[in-house]
Amino acid sequence: MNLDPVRRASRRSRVVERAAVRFYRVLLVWYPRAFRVAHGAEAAALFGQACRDNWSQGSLGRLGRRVLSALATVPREGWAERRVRGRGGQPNDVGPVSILGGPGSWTDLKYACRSISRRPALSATIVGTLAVGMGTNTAVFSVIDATVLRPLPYVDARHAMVLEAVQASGGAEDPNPKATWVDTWAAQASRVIERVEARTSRLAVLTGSGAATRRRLMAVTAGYLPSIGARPFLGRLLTPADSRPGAPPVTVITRELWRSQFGQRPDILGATIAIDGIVHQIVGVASAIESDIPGLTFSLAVALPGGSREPVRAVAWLRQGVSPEAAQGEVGALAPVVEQGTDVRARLVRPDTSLWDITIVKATELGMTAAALLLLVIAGVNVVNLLLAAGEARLPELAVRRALGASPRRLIRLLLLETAVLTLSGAAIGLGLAWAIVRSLTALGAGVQLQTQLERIRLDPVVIGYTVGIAVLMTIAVGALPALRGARTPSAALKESGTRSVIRLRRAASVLVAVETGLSAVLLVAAGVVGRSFLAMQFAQRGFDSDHVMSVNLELPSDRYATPTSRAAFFNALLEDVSRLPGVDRAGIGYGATTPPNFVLIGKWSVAGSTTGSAALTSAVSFVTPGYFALMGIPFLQGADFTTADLAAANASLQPAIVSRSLARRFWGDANAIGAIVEVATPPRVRRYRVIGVSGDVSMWGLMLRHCRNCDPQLYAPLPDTRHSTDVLVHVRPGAPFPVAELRAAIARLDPDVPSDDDLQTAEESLSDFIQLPRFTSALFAAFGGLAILLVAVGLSAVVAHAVAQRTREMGIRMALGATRGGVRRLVIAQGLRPAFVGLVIGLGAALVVTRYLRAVLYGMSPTDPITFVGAPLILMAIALTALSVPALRATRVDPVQALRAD
Amino acid sequence: MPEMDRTRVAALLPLAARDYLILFVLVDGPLHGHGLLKHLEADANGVPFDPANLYRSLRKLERDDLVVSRAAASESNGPPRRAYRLTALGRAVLTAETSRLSALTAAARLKKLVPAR
Repeated sequence: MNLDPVRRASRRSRVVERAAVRFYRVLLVWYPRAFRVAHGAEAAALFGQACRDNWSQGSLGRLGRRVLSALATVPREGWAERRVRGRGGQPNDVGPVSILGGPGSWTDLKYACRSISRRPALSATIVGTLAVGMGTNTAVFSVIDATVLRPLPYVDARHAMVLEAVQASGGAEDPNPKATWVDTWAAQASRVIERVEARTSRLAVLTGSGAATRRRLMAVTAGYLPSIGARPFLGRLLTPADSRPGAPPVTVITRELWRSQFGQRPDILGATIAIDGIVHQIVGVASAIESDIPGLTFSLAVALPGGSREPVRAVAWLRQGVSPEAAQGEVGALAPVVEQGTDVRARLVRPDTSLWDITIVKATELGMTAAALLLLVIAGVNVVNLLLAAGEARLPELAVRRALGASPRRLIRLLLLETAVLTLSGAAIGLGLAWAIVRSLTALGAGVQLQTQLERIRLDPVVIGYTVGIAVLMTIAVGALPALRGARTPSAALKESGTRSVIRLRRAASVLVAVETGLSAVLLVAAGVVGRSFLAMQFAQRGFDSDHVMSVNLELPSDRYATPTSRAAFFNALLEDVSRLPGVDRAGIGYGATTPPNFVLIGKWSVAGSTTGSAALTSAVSFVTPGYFALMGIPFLQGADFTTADLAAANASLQPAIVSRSLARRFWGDANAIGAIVEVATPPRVRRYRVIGVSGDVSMWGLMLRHCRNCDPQLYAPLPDTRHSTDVLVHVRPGAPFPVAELRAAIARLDPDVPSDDDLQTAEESLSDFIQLPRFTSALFAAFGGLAILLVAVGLSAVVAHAVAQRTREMGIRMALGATRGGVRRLVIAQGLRPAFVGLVIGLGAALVVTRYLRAVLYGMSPTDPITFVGAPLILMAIALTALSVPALRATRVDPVQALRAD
Repeated sequence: MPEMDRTRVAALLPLAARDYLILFVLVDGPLHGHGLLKHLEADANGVPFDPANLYRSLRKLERDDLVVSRAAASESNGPPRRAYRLTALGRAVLTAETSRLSALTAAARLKKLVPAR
């Protein structure tokens, strides 16, 4: 076609105009219908003309801006118009987005509540099911929230960053800056940093208030306590005046300490307490002093002296609107502090928030999140099933409404409102349930890795918001299918017998039952594997006489036991007293010698003169005295125990050492290790050990790790000197009780200022602490598995009961034609079991995949543990049979005559 | 101006900026939608003005008796067009609003918010 340029241009601009008009008309759906009718065409034409003008003038920028501005303006203004109209407007114009709002919804809400209360049993089942699903999810979310999303207690945590020190010369790195540097840096970077607060942390011995006790203390700047959300319960918190040189020593204690050490005496303010021998006045009781170190609990706080040279943990709060990157740049460019000839620079880092670096914590939390989500899906499927069944019974009612002029949209809204009322009730109950779950989780104990975090869980607005969010999602997920189905009801359903739709429902119900059973199988298998792994851990060989050993770690006040001789004198006297106690057959001392061991040596290990090469290794280290192995009941595989002569060599450059079987195997296999020399490079020093013996493994890390044969490397070295902090170990005769009170009394007799109230544990107790997290995990999974079974039982029996009720007439005919009761019962059970069985098979397949991800939390257990994979389906099938027996029995009670007459 | 109109005018003040602009454009004589849009955009340095929004405002102004509209001859196959005209009340409100604004401008000038002329 040959058109001249002018005509071609005008043709193009007409195309643009038409497209613009169409585009605008679509956008106009945001306006109410009345407005569209009155002004829509005109407005769209105007828009088209304006676009055409822009086009023909060649101002494409303006055209683009016009389109963008329409996209932004029309929805906003249209919505505003709707709101204006909604208040006085036409009741029938609900609009595209106001499915749950708009005029008439109040009436519908009343309808919804009425129709819910007309079916109390069904509604209660639905609400209960939803409460279980949402409650467990809320509980798990609150755990995740407390541990992963906000693991640190800082107020305004979004703006908090940690101020660290970097040594320019690359020397040994202590990221904790000294308090004086922090002050300097904070002053220099005041453009980006609003304020810096700092604390130190140490264990302190408290005396002068009943029995001596050892508690964790923080020395803080005045603003630190408010920054971690501490509030004065009595008296006050610390002030800047408390940090001035020469200020009287004061302290703020926690309510917990007030309760346990002072019996909650009302005149606590002004009372005194000696902290490491220095008398402090108590000026306040804080609600709590939150810990920013997982596993540590703080009991009291003192003022950090001004100008202190101590290394501190410094937290900086950025000014409003300053990005972390900008602040990092500014702080990194500050002039370095010169310290002993090296430059020290400042660095801002995000707080090390992630507990997820701890593999087992990550695995635990991922596992419980997945389990909770599975449970929610199971609950959701259950509810869909119940709602569909209920909807089937309501076909006539919906048909009547439809025939009387209710629009499909109105019906959808009504049905969705009903679901919303149910889910929100479920959410409310679920919140209560979540609270109970969190409380019991905390009581159960989650080990050092999670405990402090768990104790911080509150049902705060974030958690409640999460629950409400889930409820809204569930309303849509669960309500959509039944609502759409209900709204599609033709008025013809009034006349129809409804047989066809019943058959369709039965198929949908079967699929849902299969899905539900499959998901439950996955959960149950996971719970089984984790639970069996925990049992295996509980009954595993410890490698020492764990039933008859107890230990206590004692801390001698440093002022009165300044010399090794005075400390040795105390412990010798104590050991003499203790070995005379009834039932005690051996007693000894060590350092880091309790179980599980407290110290590890991380470095590059190599065997001198060997070609096996070196390995980076983490080994537990204990410092022990002769007789330790006999006391603990740890066997010797090669060589023998330390002698008193070895103690003398404890400070030599080549020390005698005893290694565990795991360690020996790692370097020498089955060959003789005695006499070999091990070098451990921990820059800047290299430690050298001469192996004089190989002991049996004490199962510690092996308890936590999967299939671990050689993962308990341990090195024993002679105790060089009696230290302030020393472990006292006691072995009792078989059958004798642990002399806990006597041991305490013996310590108090020797020196009442030596605290013995904590850390006084039997070996089994401390091991039990050690495996708290696995126990926590398995309890959690067991609970989830149990709930899943419960939901399956409820779902299956409700669906089958409904099907039976629908088929009363058919059962009547069958029985009239001579079917036996047994036959009818078998029919019902078989038809209910079939989908469950199909689901089960698929679920077991899925479980094979899923349990592989649980490896990290399994101990000595294959993820495809055959006992679990056989046992779990058996349990599920048994539950399904039980659930089916009720409706089956009901089916056999059908009276043929009644059933046939009923329709 | 009759007493009653004065109270009506006062009741309609202050005027929304958008409404003010529309009335202002209509001072020179009646316009239909397209003309209005063009003038409004020209006054705003070409910033696009949303047509539906224009009709929202026009409807409100018409309800308040500030403008009146009447059907105009439409283009051959286009939608029906209406022409909008300022009423006496509309003109009075525009005048009142303008003097209110100029009083404000004078006050702003005293506070050196705008340069003195």
